[in-house]
Amino acid sequence: MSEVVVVGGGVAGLAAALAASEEGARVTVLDARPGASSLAGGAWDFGLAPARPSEALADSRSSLALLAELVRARPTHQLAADALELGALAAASHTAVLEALGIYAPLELDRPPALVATDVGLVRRVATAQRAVLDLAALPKGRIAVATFPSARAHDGGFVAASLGELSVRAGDARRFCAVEVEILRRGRDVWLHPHEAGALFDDDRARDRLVRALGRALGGSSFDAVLLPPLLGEHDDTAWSRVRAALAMPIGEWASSLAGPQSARLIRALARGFARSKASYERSPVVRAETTSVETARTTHRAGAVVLATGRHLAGGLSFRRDEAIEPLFGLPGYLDGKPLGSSDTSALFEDDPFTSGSSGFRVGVGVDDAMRPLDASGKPRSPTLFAAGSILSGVPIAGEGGGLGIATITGWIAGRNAARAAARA
Amino acid sequence: MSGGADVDVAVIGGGLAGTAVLRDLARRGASVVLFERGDLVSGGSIAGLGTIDTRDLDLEHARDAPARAARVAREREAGVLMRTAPHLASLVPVIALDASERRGPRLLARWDAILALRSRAGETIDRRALDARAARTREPALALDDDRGAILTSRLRLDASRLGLAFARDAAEQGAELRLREEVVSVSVEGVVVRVASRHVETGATSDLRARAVVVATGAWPTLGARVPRPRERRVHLVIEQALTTHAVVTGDASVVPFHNVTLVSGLASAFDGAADATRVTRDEVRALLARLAPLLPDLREARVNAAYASVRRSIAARDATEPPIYGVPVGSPWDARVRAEDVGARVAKLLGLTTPGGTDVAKVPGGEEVVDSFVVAERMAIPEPTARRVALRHGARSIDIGARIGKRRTEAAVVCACEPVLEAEVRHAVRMEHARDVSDVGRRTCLGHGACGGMRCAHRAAEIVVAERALAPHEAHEMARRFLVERWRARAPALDPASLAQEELAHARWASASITSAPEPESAE
Repeated sequence: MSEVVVVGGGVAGLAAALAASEEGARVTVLDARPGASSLAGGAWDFGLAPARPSEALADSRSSLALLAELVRARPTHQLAADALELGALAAASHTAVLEALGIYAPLELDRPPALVATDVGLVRRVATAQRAVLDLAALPKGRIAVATFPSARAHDGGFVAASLGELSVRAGDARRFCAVEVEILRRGRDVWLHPHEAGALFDDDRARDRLVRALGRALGGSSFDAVLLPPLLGEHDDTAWSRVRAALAMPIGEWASSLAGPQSARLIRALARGFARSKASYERSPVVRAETTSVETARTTHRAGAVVLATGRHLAGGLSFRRDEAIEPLFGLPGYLDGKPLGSSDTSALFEDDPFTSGSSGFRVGVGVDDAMRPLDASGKPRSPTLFAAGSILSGVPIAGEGGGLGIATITGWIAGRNAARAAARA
Repeated sequence: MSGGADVDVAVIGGGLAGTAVLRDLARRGASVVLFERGDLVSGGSIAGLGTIDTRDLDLEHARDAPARAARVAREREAGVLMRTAPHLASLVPVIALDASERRGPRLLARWDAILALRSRAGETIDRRALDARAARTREPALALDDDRGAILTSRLRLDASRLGLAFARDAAEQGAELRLREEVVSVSVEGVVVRVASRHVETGATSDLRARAVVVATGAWPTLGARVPRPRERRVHLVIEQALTTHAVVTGDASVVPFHNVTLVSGLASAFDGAADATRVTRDEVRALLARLAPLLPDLREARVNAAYASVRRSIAARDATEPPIYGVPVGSPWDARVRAEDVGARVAKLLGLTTPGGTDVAKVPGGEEVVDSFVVAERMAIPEPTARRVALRHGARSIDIGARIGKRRTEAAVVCACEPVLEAEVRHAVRMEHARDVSDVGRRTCLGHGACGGMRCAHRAAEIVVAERALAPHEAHEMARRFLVERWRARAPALDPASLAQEELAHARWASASITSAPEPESAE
């Protein structure tokens, strides 16, 4: 039986593990520390440069159209070579990964993307969102209550409602947002809750019932069509949101968070469940030495027919920047930018003026790969026929944050995992 | 008002010098108006953050009578500032190194002899010579070769930014008028009055003011078509994210000053001929300054730089043409701004026939009325002591204003910027009482968003608060947060090290997920 070792336990690693398992390989996942995946909020997309939020409200292009647009906009993007197969790949990889995670709505590529509100009161188009997140696109256009909990200071529902209200007026949209204050604590006026603490309140049956009653009172007979809440519908209980919805008998959901909180905690747990489901054996320890035929952790040496690198970029340490070089530390792969190896240029010169509008090129540096997702050495040739890379370690793939990028991680992980299993079988 | 003048004096420029003159004249009983085209204390005065006066630290060259007079004046002024603004002025121990060359024990013996002479002449000696070993014992962060000598002394350390705000506030409390975001476009003498024409930089509204005298306090900036003052010098400033030393370390033109929870490194970059607004630095300038100091302070090699910026100053203390009724404030360092203002104030008062003394050498600045105990502040406001200490350092006795806000609305005790920390009440206070108009202004007043996270956690929240206080539309908050983040990024980018990239990636992820990085909304058509 062929053996595939996946280094990295984020979304790209999960996709690779699922794809390799499906090809019949025996898969081992080595996970060291949380990276960008574990900081993702409730939304999932392909890392598109977002349009103006008011345009997002009115946009009806399909997810696939947006994905194709991304590939066209970035000819050096790793997916560009696979543009024709993109739809099929996106569908196959997302069906498997989203099902394994179990907390996201399925991806429907031919439909308009979901519309989620963000924690600063803007709107994003996303490929899919956690089921707990309110999809504005799926709502009838009416009055939406935005719940604000004074004790949960990290979330200002008042501002979110005001900003969303301004956006919908600008976009000529019929949705109306109205802040509704809900007191969730009676322990004393000085108590403020962190997002995790507030989220945990929705896990507990009795506390949740009390909150639902408070919410009901606050909405009190007024005719709202839906309720938008801060991202705290369950820290550990993934079904909290559906229970609250049943109790209130109207569409409810969270806005998507941009900071770690209950939504990212849900994703981390779902990843663990996903790896169990992939039948991959999972080891949580850092890799101390890696070759294409064996990967060594502090505890074990794993024999490998093929290796998938899904080690992320800066956050998870998949790429190491020094003054005059950017290098992948496990295999010593050179950093690539726009299809070319960086060489020994001054890396700090890559960080330009405005990181927001142009996107500093330093944040697009990563490992270069060929069509089969095999990382390239400095001469532009694949380092090894059995070494693959996926996710945000790849050059040109948007930085973890450029809209989330989990969709790209999924597709590239899927290709790398599938090809790794085939290469291992051949070897 | 005689001769048809609207006011007695118009002061042009709201830096440390301008606000000091404004305060002096307001206290003398003059009716005064200040014009500042940007924000208070935001130009060359930003170089005053944590400033210590480093002139006269080279003992060899300070033996003549003028040097001695300067020493006496400096010591007197240090006493004045510590009495009148105790929360903003404090003494910091200084180790001054001989920058030029290595000289052995003979140097120390010679210094000792000079000090003994001065002591016999009845001068207070605030310094002593240290050999390398003694210097290393006092300041373990120093790596000093055995054949080098050092001087141990102390210097006044100022929060020049807050001091300028305190001057402006005091002046306002004495009836002075502040016209911010208002640029003076022309000054012309018309008989016995001076006509000052100005334009609001945001609304474009123009106005005319007739004053009996004008004081120009624009520092390195040219005024009203006048010749650009030269020569100027450019200094590079680095903010290191932690306190590396307990002493300020001075060598040649470079200094390393511990300031609250950070370290400020600064050094002369070059004689400078460019625009006075050129406050951005290059990677090479950052590296050169660090490389120059790292042999002395090896910790600098590993230290993380949170911000790098430059300041431009006129480098000679030449007086501007001061033909009545238009006066100029001579150039100097932040520590003697009050004295220079007093001098100009006296001359203007003479012209106006005012006899009341300014008294800025004894009058306490707002916040300096008494020394506050941060533990008492913490207890009264029911906030943690480390937070209360920051409040007390910025507001002194006026911390009571912050406490009053929290007393009315308990939720304003929430921490907005955790790196510093800064309370919600302080952000609101900065807008209401300290003329802050956006997050950058709040940042200069409170250090909000200047910590290791680069504003990731606080920029948007602060913008929401500013927008609420100013009753602006929500999209202004997004724009404001975005402008601030770009500004902070520009300060960090020249000093970005590999270890910082994970933080930068995190921050970018945050803003992209929140949609802050998307294209800004076009201005609405109303």
